[in-house]
Amino acid sequence: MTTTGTLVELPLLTHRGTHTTRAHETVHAVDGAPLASLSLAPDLLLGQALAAQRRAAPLPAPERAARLAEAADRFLNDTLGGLTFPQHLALVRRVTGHNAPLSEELSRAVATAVAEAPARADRARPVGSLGSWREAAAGPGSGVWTRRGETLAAVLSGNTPTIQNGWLQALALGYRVAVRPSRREPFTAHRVVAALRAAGFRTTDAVCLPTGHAGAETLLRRADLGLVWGGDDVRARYGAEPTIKVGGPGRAKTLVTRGHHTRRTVASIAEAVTALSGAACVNTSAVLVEGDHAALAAALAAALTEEAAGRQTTDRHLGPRVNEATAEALLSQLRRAGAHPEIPLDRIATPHPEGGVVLGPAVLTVGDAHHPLVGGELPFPCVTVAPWAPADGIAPLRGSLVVTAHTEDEALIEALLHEPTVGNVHLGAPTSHGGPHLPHEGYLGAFLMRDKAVVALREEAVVAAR
Amino acid sequence: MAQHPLLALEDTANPDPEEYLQAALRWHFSPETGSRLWLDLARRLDFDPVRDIRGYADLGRFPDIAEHLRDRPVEDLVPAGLVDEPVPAVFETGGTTGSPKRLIYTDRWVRRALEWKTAELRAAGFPEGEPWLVAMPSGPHAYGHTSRLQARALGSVLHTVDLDPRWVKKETAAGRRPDAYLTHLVDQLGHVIRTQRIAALTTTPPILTELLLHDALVDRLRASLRYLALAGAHLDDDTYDLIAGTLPDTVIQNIYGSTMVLTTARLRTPTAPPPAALYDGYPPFVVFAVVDPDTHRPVPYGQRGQVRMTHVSSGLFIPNNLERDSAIRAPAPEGGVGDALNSPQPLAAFDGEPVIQGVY
Repeated sequence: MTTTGTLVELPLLTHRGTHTTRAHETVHAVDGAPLASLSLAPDLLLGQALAAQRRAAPLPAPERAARLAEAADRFLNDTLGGLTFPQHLALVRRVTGHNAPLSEELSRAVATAVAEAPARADRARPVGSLGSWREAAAGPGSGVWTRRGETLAAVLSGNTPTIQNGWLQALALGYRVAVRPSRREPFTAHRVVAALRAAGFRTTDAVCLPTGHAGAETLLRRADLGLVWGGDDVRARYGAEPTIKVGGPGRAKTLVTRGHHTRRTVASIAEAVTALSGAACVNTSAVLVEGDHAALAAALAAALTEEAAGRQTTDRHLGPRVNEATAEALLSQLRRAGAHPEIPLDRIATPHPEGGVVLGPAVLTVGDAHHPLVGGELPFPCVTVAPWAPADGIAPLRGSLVVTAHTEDEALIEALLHEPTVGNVHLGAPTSHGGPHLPHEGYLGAFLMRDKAVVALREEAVVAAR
Repeated sequence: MAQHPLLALEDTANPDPEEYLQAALRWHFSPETGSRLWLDLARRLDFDPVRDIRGYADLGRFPDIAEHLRDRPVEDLVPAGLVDEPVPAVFETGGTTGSPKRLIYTDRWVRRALEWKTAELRAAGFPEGEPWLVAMPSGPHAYGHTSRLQARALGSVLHTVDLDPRWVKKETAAGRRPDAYLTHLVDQLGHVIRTQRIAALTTTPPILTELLLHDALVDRLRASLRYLALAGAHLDDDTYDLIAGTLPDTVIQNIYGSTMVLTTARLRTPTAPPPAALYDGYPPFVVFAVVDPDTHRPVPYGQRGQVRMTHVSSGLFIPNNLERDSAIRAPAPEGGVGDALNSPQPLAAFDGEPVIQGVY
């Protein structure tokens, strides 16, 4: 990365080094300012990179762990591609629209994810599998945790810098990774790969190759395994592929049963709606309420309004800063949605002095648990409150990455746990609550690894056979 | 009967373009020599082609006849003046923008184009007498046929791998990637490359892209390949840079042309790298223009517009064919007619139908 004029130059980080292409795209801030010139990889380069990565053997596991620890430090402290960490933060914040403290928190979380990638990946290893075949051969034999492939394509979205966390685990497990960053926010992937290289990972271990939609598909088809994030369209295209893991959509929901309309519940839901700028897949997008759903909606609207008060034109704004066209499109969608806004819609968009519009919070009420808004999600703090009765069961909660249940009903909790289309079940904790020790859409290792039996021929076994 | 002036002019080394065009208009719009198609269409024109068309710039007044080439019997396309000549060959377009169009290739035309092309291949440093591998469409498509004639003229043994662009387009239109078909093609290319010492190769950019991912084949090509032509699909400049880096001792040409004008463009500098290449027509037979897609008026030099192609010969009259491509308008060579093209590439969409590119 070097700066030409005012634009940051983001070359490809290829299997051979860096490469600037003639085709390029300008990365814009949410205020419309051009920030960076992004090189775009042609198909041939994508194929050549993956071929080179497949030929390269991984670094030994202990070396990978040591270099990841060093890369985390370099990510935070080095000047990489001409950018210091504060300069990098400023760019990320200007394209993602997260507020300043959150933006920094998320970028620092990426560094933590780099350092902890080996440990986080290992949490998925079955108790019946060992990490090394030598260990298995020295004992009575065991399952050994083994890569399902050698190369991984990671086609990322741009809503949070921490989207990197998945592929970093793959790298820790010995995969050679081809990252196709979001074209909206390519800075984090670029900096992570640059930090890895500065820490001694070879160019073939991780490449950063921005490319168009066709190129993203090329990467997913050519790599042994793929990670891709997106909405229903992406799930429809890749969901049936056993070698591709699709992240999203989220559509996280919160269920409040009778007797749980407390201030504590409302505060928990407010956090679930607004954490991570309300733009993540784990943000609660619908609340189903047994009893007086309108009263809970009013209480939630009051809590969110109070939380946002006085912040929206500062650098601590609640909700993301987006460009004006996006804001207008989202608002007009809400106006047409046929729901009652608890907070007038003309108050949920605040022009920001740094440019763009801060969106949210929005609380809508509908009269039916099966209203289309209950099954949707929008990329800002926006929640739909609907009535729920025990007779509805878990049907309106299907298709959710996370369901938070405020309830004592154990049968209901069991039903949620056993519902295949519900990803995670939180008992009162906000849907947005996550942590390195928790699976997100399953443990990634379960997708990346398999278990192979390794048994050595032992002297006593030979004797016994005679 | 004396030879028609058009046939005489066609065999002249450098016919005067205006004189040639007038002779051609008289040929195509006279009942004794014209085709049934053009004689039919002439009745519907609001101008008199022979009297009112004064030069190539006026050819835009004619309708685009693409639809007729898809549906009319071939007999209607053959000019009556050629009744005593050998039966012409019929080749078809790839069908990128709908069902295929049929074009008439007379022996006269095939001979003429062969002379141009062999001379140009020699000028580009084509390794005459050495093995040439062509993986381009044959069957209904002209490319496979003309490259066989060129190989013979250049004394090179021709190795071929066939490809069916229509199948690829069908797969792509259905949202499927032609990965398996590409693999099948590269398997066949690999067999030829492993067993023969291939000095010249002609194929499409997507096929070459797949081929270049096979190291053993790249190593063999690097040792023997002197001439590479890429045709049939868009070659972007970044891909060219990578290919040139992989095959540093090979002359690389991007071939741009259209079945609709029965030939590919003339590369003004045969060895120029594709990003800088200028593509000329063959006036007075084949003439290019770069026009505004909405007004159909020429765009200023240096600006991108839609490519319009014209073919005027005794066998065929295609006055006003809008291609599915855009290009940057450049001046024709001194004394030339029409425009030269730089950096041709597919239009995003054409006639409302999305343009599908596959391996072809």
